[in-house]
Amino acid sequence: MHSYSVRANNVLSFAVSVWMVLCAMATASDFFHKADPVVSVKLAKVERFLRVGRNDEAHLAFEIDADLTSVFSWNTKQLFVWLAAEYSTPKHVKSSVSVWDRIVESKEDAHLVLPFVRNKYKLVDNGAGLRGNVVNLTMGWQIMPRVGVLRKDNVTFPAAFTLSEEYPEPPQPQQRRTGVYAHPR
Amino acid sequence: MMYNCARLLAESLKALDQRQIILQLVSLGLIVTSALMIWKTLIVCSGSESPVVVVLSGSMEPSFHRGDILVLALENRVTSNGEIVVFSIKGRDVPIVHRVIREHSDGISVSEKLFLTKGDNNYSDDTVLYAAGQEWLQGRDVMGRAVAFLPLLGRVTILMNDYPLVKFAVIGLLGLLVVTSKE
Amino acid sequence: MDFRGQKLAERMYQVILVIAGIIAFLAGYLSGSFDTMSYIFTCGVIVAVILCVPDWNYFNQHPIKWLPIDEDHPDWETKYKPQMEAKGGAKGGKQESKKKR
Repeated sequence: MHSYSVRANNVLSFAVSVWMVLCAMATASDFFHKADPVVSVKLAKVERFLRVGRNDEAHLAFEIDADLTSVFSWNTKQLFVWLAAEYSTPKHVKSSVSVWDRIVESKEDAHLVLPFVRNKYKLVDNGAGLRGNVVNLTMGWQIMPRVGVLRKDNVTFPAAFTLSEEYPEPPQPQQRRTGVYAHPR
Repeated sequence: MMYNCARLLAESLKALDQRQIILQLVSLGLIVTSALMIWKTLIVCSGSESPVVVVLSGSMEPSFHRGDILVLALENRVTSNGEIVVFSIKGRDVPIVHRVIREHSDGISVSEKLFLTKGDNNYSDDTVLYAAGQEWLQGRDVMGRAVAFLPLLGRVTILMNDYPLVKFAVIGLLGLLVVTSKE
Repeated sequence: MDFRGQKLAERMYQVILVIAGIIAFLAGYLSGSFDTMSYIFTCGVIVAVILCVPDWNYFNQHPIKWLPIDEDHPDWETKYKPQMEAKGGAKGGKQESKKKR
């Protein structure tokens, strides 16, 4: 049969197939996209460092200069950029705690210059393993495409800072972890 | 004579109809089974028990919107901080798609890993979403890691979820189309 | 639509869509804009639908030529003639051809 509806159906389903191939090619082209991000992250200040209940807690501030403009390709919708503190304790061989993140929605906003930015999430250990510990800072970014494969990349600054051997202030009792932070943006 | 011929014609028509009905049924079965085959193949390839999910809430905006489709995987890379995971919580039947913001691991067991998650668009982390007394998400709760993203394709699913009538209408219409269409 | 028209229609939408896809991808990639790709391809789809779905004249350049009715066939009186009458007159053959668009 070759009625209007059958022909329309054929045309549209073939169009969808071609569109899927185009999307696949778009996401494949991302793998050939050359990016050379320039990232510099330093600890600006340890603002507080104390024991809360059974956990160690550090309030930090950072100096960030990250140019991620070149990471944007034609198929990039946004970048999710985060800063993680990584360290090792006797209790957990590998810990990675996000202390800051930001969503970059356009190429124009992709050069992050933040001379002094406080952590969005405190550095909280699961246990009391932060005293005298060496902490690596990793800036990671996840590349969210218009369509296709999610990719990610990161830059690590090993031994970015070391926390002091003693708590500068007295311990505080454990509060219920509410997990409420400032608004994301 | 006339009567005989008419009867002959009617019988042949009837035979044709029967054959056609069987054919339609076979093609209906083919569609269902091939869909199932694709689904199961995806499960095997991705290593995740539900390899494709539709985002149902706006808690990950602007990363994901309602109706976006995510392809999940579990096998080839271990989940780490910053990645988007799909997990299920005891007592909740709908899995949640959120981002890992904390990770503590003993370096050996993947299923014992501790995670804390948060939706990009939420004010707070997911401690409040977890089951009573549950402080961490564990590696074994993770159903998959988002590896690919197809925007908006799942809108239909959301529509069907929100309005069950639409679901029956769509299924009925599709069934009718398959049964009545002639090759 | 005749048989050659059907073949032409099928070939036409395939060619149009593939070409539109190639142009859309190149334009999108070179201009660095995903939206450009979407727009160009959507235009291509609209063109394909307009050119290939309706029953345009160029699909009807080769009408089917039916053989004349063979009334000398040994079974004519007993079998075919009654069938044609049952279908609505001896011109059943022509009606058949009309059914195909």
